[in-house]
Amino acid sequence: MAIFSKSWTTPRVELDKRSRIWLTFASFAIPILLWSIVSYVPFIWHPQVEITDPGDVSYFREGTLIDKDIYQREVDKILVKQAETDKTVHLPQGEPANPVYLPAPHEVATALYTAFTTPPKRSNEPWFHESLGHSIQIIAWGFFWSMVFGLPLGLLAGTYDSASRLIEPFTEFFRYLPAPAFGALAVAILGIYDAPKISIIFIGTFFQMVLISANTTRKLNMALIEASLTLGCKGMSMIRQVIIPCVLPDLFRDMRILLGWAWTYLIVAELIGTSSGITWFITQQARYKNFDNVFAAILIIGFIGITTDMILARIGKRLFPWHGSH
Amino acid sequence: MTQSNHPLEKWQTPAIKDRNQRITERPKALEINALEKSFEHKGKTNKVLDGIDFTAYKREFVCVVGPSGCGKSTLARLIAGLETKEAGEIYVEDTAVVEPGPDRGMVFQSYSLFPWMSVKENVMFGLTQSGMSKNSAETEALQWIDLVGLEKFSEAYPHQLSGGMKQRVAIIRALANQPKVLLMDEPFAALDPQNRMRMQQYLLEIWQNIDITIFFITHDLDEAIYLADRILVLDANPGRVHEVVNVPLPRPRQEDTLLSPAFMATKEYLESLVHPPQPEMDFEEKLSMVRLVPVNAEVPDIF
Repeated sequence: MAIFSKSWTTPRVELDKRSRIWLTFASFAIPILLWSIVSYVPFIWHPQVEITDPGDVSYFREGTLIDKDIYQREVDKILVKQAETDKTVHLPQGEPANPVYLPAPHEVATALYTAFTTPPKRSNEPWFHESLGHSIQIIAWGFFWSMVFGLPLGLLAGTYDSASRLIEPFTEFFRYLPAPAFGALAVAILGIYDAPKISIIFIGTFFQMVLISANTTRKLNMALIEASLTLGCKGMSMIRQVIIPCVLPDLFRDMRILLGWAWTYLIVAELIGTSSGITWFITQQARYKNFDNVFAAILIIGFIGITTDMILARIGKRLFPWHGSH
Repeated sequence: MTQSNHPLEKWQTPAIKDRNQRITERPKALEINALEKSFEHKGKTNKVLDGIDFTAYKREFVCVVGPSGCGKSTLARLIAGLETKEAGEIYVEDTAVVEPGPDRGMVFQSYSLFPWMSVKENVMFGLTQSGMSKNSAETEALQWIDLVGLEKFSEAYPHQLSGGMKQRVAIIRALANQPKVLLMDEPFAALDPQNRMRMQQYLLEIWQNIDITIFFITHDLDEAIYLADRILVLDANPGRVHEVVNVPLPRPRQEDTLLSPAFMATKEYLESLVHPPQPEMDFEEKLSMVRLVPVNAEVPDIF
């Protein structure tokens, strides 16, 4: 089987099906492979030593991670002591290990499962799936309010030059203000629970949404607007019957991209007020040095992101069968 | 220029003259007076239309030809109300044109069908806009679709149709509104020659059967002669009316009309108006350009 096909190096030529599957697989396999190499091949990196037998070193415990040079120094000390006193000594034993913040793939894979099955440390704390549900809820509300206000404004700005002049300059300015900077303000105004978090997601996505949907609307084929004008369509009726249906598929795609942005604002949003959701889980697990759980939680955000995006893409194809082929 | 020495005079048979005479006795469908329009481009003002006067009569088929840049498309867009005029007046059946409206249907070169609507919904669009109920709009749309032989495609979407079919839908979509004037801006330019021929025949057939004045922009002289009663010839820079040519061909036009001597003569005459003979480039100069290109010496010269 020829792994390397000619079409790979021809610019902008569509790949055959097998190459596509291969490369998609490789795009995940390569990072995982690198991660595995660093984790499982002992002489690559591994800057620390995991103690298996403390020997004569008083502060070594079985299972602790010690930097290689400190370990070596202790071993040297004991060897020197042996030479001086000619007593039998007990040398410490250890295996090369990676720092605690780089768990091996199999540990993270286990954590992906155990994160859901491990009960919370205290009874009033949420389970992992509850934290996750809470995060999704925050995102959904923030994004919902962004769409409620952002899409109409964007459509107006994209349709009428006057609306664009009125709306866009300020929006353009405001989108440079980092959403997390409003955290303290949001807490002062909206309290410490979910409202300020939702407002951060809103601030983070709303202004981008106005500008992006305005731009998408502006790209609408002018000939369609002119055709509808000569057919006696104008004003709100034109927006409702021509502009919205025509840009809907592109807006749908924009929303998919913006939903990804909402996730990036989530982590900051959840640190505001009382920490909650998946961010609470991550910080909590990092405090206990359960970095396998931390990785698992981050990966799950990725999984949720890519699955929703794939589902939305599928829905988009179903909803707008006419799109992309005219 | 007097009528007697006009180069096309000898082809104007009494029957054709009589027909043209009768056309000009009909009520006016479209009247253009001293129309002016210019565009600004990089700080320079470019006068595209400079004092256009023209009148089209009811049920007349008018074609507009002219060199590129003479503002033929702009003229159609001004009549449609898609551009704002600088000076002059446009009347459609004695009503001044101020904005786009359903009394002037327009067919564009780029089809511009609504891609999210089926053929039937596209044709229904203008009807429901003017307040017709869904049911009667549907019945009427289906009749139009029937007329152009697309009944099998009434539920199809535009991307599933060929160029010719799309343009047929665009034409009936405009006609369903029963406009007073149908403006067509190079509607068949994107079609291949065979399809174009067929569409021209279609259009003539539809035009003969309904009460519509057609104002047809084209750069194809054959097309203009084949379709038109009168051809409006425009000059470029600035765009002015050069001449209004009466086409000396009987109706109905047949396919072999394109081979008749009268057709040839008209084409030759229009050619001389639209593409006046250019001074030839110096031949020596051309040769010196050719010599810059290396020639494979192994290939024997055949000249």
